[in-house]
Amino acid sequence: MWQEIVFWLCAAGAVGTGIAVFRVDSMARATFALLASFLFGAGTVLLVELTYLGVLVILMMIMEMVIMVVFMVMYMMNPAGLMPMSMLHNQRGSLAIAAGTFALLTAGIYLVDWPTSRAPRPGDPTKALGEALMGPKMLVMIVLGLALFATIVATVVLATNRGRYDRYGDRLERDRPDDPVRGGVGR
Amino acid sequence: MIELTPWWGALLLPPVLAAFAVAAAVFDSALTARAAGAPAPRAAAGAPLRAAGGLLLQQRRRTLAADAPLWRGAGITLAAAGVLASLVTPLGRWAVGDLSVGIVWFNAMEIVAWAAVWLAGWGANSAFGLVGGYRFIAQGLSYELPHMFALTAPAIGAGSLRVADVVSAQDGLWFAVWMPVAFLVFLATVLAMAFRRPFDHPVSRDTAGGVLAELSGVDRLVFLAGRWLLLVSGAGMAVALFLGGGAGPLLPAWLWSVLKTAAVLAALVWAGHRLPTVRMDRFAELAWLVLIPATLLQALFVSIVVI
Amino acid sequence: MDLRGWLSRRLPVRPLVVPVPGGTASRLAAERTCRTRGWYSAASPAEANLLVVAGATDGALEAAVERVWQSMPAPRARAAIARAEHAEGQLDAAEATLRDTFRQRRQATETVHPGPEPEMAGRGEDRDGLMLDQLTVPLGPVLPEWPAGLVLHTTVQGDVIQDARVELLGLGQVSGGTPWWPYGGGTPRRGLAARHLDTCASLLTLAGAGRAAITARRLRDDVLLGRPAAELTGPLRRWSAGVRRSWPLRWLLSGLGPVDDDLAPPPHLAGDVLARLRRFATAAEEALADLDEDGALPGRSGDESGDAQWTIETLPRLLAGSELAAARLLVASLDPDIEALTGREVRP
Repeated sequence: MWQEIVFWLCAAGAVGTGIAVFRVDSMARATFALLASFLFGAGTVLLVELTYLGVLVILMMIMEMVIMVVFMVMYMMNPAGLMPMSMLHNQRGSLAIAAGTFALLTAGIYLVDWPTSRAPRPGDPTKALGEALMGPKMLVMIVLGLALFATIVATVVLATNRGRYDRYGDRLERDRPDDPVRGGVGR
Repeated sequence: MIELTPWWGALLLPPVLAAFAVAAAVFDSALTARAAGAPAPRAAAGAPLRAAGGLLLQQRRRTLAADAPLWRGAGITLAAAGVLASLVTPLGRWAVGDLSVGIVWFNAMEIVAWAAVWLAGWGANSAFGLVGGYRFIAQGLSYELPHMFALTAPAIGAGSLRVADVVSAQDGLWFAVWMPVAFLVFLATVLAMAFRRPFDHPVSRDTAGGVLAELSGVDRLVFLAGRWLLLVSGAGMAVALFLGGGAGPLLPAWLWSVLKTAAVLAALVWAGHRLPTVRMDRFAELAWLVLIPATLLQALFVSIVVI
Repeated sequence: MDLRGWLSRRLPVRPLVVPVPGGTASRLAAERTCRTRGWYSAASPAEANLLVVAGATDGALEAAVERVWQSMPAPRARAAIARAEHAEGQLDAAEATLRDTFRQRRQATETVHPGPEPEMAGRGEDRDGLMLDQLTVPLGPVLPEWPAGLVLHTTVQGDVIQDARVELLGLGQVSGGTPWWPYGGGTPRRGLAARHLDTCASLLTLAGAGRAAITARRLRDDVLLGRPAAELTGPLRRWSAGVRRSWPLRWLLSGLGPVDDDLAPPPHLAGDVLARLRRFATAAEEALADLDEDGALPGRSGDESGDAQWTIETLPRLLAGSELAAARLLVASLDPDIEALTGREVRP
């Protein structure tokens, strides 16, 4: 009983705050409304006892939204930041996409013959899910992880506009790097 | 063994945390008074409570074009984060909540502080507040990874993310003894997450108090209380994860927990009085070049020992 | 029971001291009184409940002080300390006003507190070449650990200063070229030691080295109150050695706010923030060595107005591209004595 109440609260909250994202006129409010929407979403994940995933969604979403809001306020504006701005762009197109996606998903829920299982629920669904996903493919996962990490490092190296040759000279001959702010660890 | 308190345990949690917070604030103010050569330390003991009373009297400030709901909500969010983070921290044999992923829960609740502090800085529509908010996010991005790896070490050592399992895994030997790097980094990052000195750059005097610059009255009181609660919850978790929780001879378990938490809190406050403020440009470098590799090596060491 | 009155009587006093050119003596007296009474200074108007104006204000500075007063929440009181010897009495009176619930009730009428409203100044490239919004933010004249009468009109992106313009306020009231040190009627060497300690105290406060900063303030007050040199030598030497040898300070301040030689700085202002801090700490110690002698003064060129002139002319160049925290430390380490400028033609 209480689970149903909580589910509907979370569902209504997620949709309500999701709508609020486009109703408020400030970048910060929009971001935090979006964050609230994600947190309500995390509530539903917690309801199906995927504790780890639920808590992780809370953790990651807060971090991501806070970092996003800093970037939003600093970069993406005129006239956002400290001033109000509208979050609405390309209204007709986005309305069509949203309605289409909603119709597709709802149709999916009602039309697909979802399988049911008679097997007992595992004690720790997160662990079971993890093993089912990763167990037989651990090597693939490890390689994927390495590839991802290498991609991140490579992206940063390509994106930085001051590498070690700029800091230490073309032959790395300087003792002290030439930095905008001098000093730091070991210098 | 850790057991769950009845439902009213959740009601007891905030006052218990508040008592620790007041004690820590009194110790902090006594240290300040001694350094300043101000009147008797006994007067200093009452100072935090008198200051709190003063803030109740003070007008709430309203600034031009402030984002009032977000700004005023920041303090409450911060205080709530401090209390919720302690939900999984055991006091002796009792814990209010015993999640299977308690450590991750604790971590998630601390991150709520990111949102709270940034909102406090941004909401007031003041340049200094905003700079304070930026500084806290930079601080967060610097301390968070070392903090997570420091949390990972005891979790690997115990083979579980449940705080109760971590406490009982320290039956023979406290984790602080054989994971000293993780322990020290954890303590430092607890100071950073509660933005206490030496990590008080987000509220530093050079920006007229940073995120605190425009806060007054009850808003300021709630925000400062939340900051102390966050520090207390960090100290409590340090005891559970690294100092054997309530384990100890003679005395009852809850008393050991109280004593150890008080000792960790005192050490944290004392360290704050000894060290100068660490600016973000220097801390980011230290965190990424020294602390992350150190905690990773610690986690590797722990993994090898466990296997 | 009168809860308001009960709390008012126990309210900790949080002074916000506004330094005014020509009011150094008043400021030092006010700071000393506040310190010995255990009143810790506030960082912002929102935190303060006592506005202390140290010196006589006029024109634009008067208006700035009035804005700060308007932005302070009740309960609040103000003290104008025109002469150093009146500091205690004025502060007593202000404290009484602060704790008087009847008078405070009348204070609490204004509702919106006009804070420092950030102003958008369009967009521009930042130091990494990204287009970012700019804000215009004035630094000073009321800011903790900030030179009296100095205002920097800065354009900032995030917390990086793009551009700075100097304005000087409150010089009209200063009666001709007062140097910093005639205060207290002591010898020039005492004044100089106090000046160095004052600079170090501001700098250490901004660096967050609270204990060292408080010790510097106590020593400064002791030097000015005429405590015998023999009693001061030990504590001053310990403090100076502690500051010079501290490795956290070295790590945090080295390389910050460098003044290169091609800017032709006065010798004692050359180098980075750390070098200046160490130099002033050493000079304070040397000045103490024969505190009550006359003769050459260590650690200063002796031309305060020339130093201040160089500083305000060079500041915009030094500050462009500097982060706010570094800028604050830089200004505190140069610590221009604005009131010394009255004797000459000012070219900010």
